[in-house]
Parts: sequence; C-alpha cells; structure tokens
Amino acid sequence: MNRSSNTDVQAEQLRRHQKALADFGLEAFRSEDLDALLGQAAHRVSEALGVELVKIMELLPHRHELLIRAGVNWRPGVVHRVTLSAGADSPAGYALLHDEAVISPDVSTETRFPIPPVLAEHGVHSMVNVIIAGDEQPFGVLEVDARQARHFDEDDIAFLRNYANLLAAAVARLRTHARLSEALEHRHFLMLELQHRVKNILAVVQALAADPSVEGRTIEAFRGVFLERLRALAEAHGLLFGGENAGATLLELVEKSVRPFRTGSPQVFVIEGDETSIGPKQGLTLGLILHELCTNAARHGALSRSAGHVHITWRQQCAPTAEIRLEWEERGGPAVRSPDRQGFGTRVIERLASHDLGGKATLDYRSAGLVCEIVFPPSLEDRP
Amino acid sequence: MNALPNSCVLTRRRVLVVEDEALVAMEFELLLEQQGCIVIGPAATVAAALRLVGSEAIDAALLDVNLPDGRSTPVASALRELQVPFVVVSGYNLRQLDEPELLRGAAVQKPADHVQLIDTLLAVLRR
Repeated sequence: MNRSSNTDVQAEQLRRHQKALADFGLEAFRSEDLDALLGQAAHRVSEALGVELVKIMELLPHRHELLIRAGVNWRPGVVHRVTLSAGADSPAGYALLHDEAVISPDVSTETRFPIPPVLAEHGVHSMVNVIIAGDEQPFGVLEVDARQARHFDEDDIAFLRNYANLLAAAVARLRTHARLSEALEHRHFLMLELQHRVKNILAVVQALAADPSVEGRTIEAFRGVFLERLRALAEAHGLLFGGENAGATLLELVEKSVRPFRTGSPQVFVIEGDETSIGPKQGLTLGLILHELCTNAARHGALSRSAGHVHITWRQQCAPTAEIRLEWEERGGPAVRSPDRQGFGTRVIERLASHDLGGKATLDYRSAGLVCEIVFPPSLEDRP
Repeated sequence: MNALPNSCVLTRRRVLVVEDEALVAMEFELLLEQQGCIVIGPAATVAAALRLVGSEAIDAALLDVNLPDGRSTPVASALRELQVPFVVVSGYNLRQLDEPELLRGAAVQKPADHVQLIDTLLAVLRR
C-alpha cells in the first residue's frame, strides 16, 4: 500500500467515524427509550469500526456487576441476561477500576484479567473497553470485540471515547426525564388524594349537619350541637394531621377531646392507659365518640353535677389481637335510668365503633353512672 | 336544597350502601329509608360489601370508591355480573382514576346533594 492510499484510508475512516457520531448525536438527543438508544449505538459502532461484536454494559446499582444491556451479533440469551464482574477480574471491570480505556490486542496473551467465558465462546481475539460516564458513578462500559486480530489505533480510541461521552449525556438526559415524570406523577397522585380527602371531610360535615335528632329543636340548639361537633372534629384533625407523621397516641387524643369539658375541678377526668398509638382515621372516629360521651355526660350524666367525674382507662391486649379496650365510667352524677328510646348520640357512638373502628361499643346504664366500653382492633394504617 | 322527588319507583327497593364513614353511611341510610327503600348494609369494606352482594337480594347500590381494604372496583364488577345498577358516590373525579369498571356506573360527587343522589338512583333503576 503506498503512502497516499494509506492516507485515503485514514481519511475515509475518519469520515465514517464523524458520520456515526453526528447521526448518533441527533438520535441521542431525540430518543425517549434507553434500550432502543443503546441498541442503536451498539449497531452504529459496529458499522463504523467494521467490528462484528459490540456491547454496552450497565453498572448495576448496589451490585458489583455489569449487565450486558445492549449489543449486536451476540447469540440469543446474552443481551439483558449475562452479567460480568465489575471488579478487576473482568476486562470491563478493569477499565472501570483504572478509569481509562483498556486495549487488548490479543486476549490469549492477556495477563491483567481473565477473559470471561462469553468472550471465549464467541471467539473474540482483540478488544477495547471505554467507560461511559455517569452522575455519581459511571453508567457502565462500551466494549468492542473483534474476532480477528485487530490493531485499534488512536483514532479508533478517540472515536470510541467520543461515542461513550455522547452516550453518557443521553443516558443522563433520559434518567433526569424519568425522575421528572415520576415526580409529576406523584404530584398528580397527591392532588387526587387531597381532593378526595377534602371532599370526604365535607361529606362528614354534611352528615353532621343532617343529624335527624335535632329536628323540632330550635335553630340555636341545633347550631350549638353542630358547632361543638365541628370543633371536636377540627381539634382531632389538627392533632392527627398536624405533625410530620399522621396519627397520635391515645392519651393525646383523649386529653384533647375532653379539654372543653374540663370545667371546674381538674379531677373531673381521671385518665389512665398504656402507651398506645392510633391511626389518623381511628383518631377522628374516637374524637367524635369521646365528644358525644362528654356532651351526654354534661347534659344528663356525671358532668352535670359538681361532684361528678369520669374515669377514662384503656389497655392494649398483647399480639396477635393487639385489641384496644377503652372504658368510660361516670361516677357522682344523678341516678341513671336507661333511656326510653335510643338517642341519636348513642346510635352514633355504636355505629362509629362498629363501622369505622371495626369494633364494638357497649353502653351500660348502671345506676351509679353510665359505663361505656369500646373494643377495637389496632389501626391497619400504623402497621409497618 | 330542592324538594325530594316522591317516587314509588324506590318503594321497597333493596339498596346496598357501601361507605366507610359511619356518619355519611347513616345519612344515606336515613335518606333512603325516607324514600321507602330497604337499606342493605351499610358495608364499610370491600370484603363486607362482597359478602352482602353474594348473600342478599339487591336492586341497586351506592358505592364509595376508597375503602380501608382497597377501592370498590371488585364490588362494581360483582354488581355488573348480577346486572345490578349502581351509583358511585365519591370525592374523586372518576375520570382521573384509572378504573373503567367504576365508570360504568352513574356518578355523584361528595358531599352528595340529596336530590341529585335520589334522582341519579331513580335514573339507574329505570334504565
């Protein structure tokens, strides 16, 4: 080969490289699909260098392994399946560790690392590995494998490094894109949930306003009952959703619920119980139940007399039931007689306990005072 | 609120109520009873609702979407198989949810307007 034709060959080779880079640059900018992009890249490198086997390996997060993510001319079962060590005991791993392009002109005389079976199986003779950079750690490695003896010159290496850098930029763009879409999706989800929660709360408020027990009473009496219930709901809501994590302890909730009724002596309420946590939904329900009990006691029970007081105690059973048993016991009030008809307040308490808590409320009108026992399972929301 | 329709179409109709808020369930129950319906349930969970669908005669249903054990989609499917019409009563905008089964029902937004709820129930029963 004379000198001028040698130069022609080099010029032709450079043109091929430039064209491959330019074509891929545009694809890399437009692509939305990482696998398609990597497949296309492997194909173009194979054509530009005239080398049959090309593969792109991805460094798997938290694992010392490289997955063959894309490639051309490998037998079925290699791409997306075979992994290689990301340590010094594989050609690609060696390149990653030394942070540079690694050239092996003849794998049979290679002493720096063992040759992986998948290369031997495909009759690879010469190879080059270049690193594909990434944000915190490299994305992976671009490897070119020739079945014949091949001298990879400086131009080849420069081409491959340029190519790997284009790939790195494309991967970074697609990953950012994926993160942004995820964040948008999450925002959409939060918006839906918020909308749903607000409407649910409004539905509960409407239900309170539709309370049939106030029919025939004055508008003032209705307004008093309604506003107190609304305030109880708001107080419980503030406690349960005010913190970073939704929920509260049962003690916090009981204290908050009875506070408006702690008039006069501080001994009006005797409160005792285990350290028990409750979920937000449970808390709202218990808040309403306690409010109904307090209102009844203030109107007809222990809280209507200065000597009256209420004991509120609870205990959580051991696993597996982990059931919570809360007792409300009134003492020192007027003599109690069982109500002739079940009032709305009583029905609300029973229904809230069975329907919302999945438990049971029992109201026992003892002559010494009302005893209400509420048994319910722990919140599903609180389980890890 | 406008006057509620007084329709014999609802008399003695057996209406399943699926709703996890006790107070809202009680409100619906009272509303339906005032219209002469027989209330089945109310069920607070998907599991409880499915049990009732399997064991009770039901003419129509009011379905909340979000229940403690999941969305009420399986209940909607079970009702569709039995050709029981239903009204989805939810705080969600149903078109924003990927739940085609729920879109087969009529929809009423929460908090539910009583007149609209009864009108919609009448409409699905007449279909």
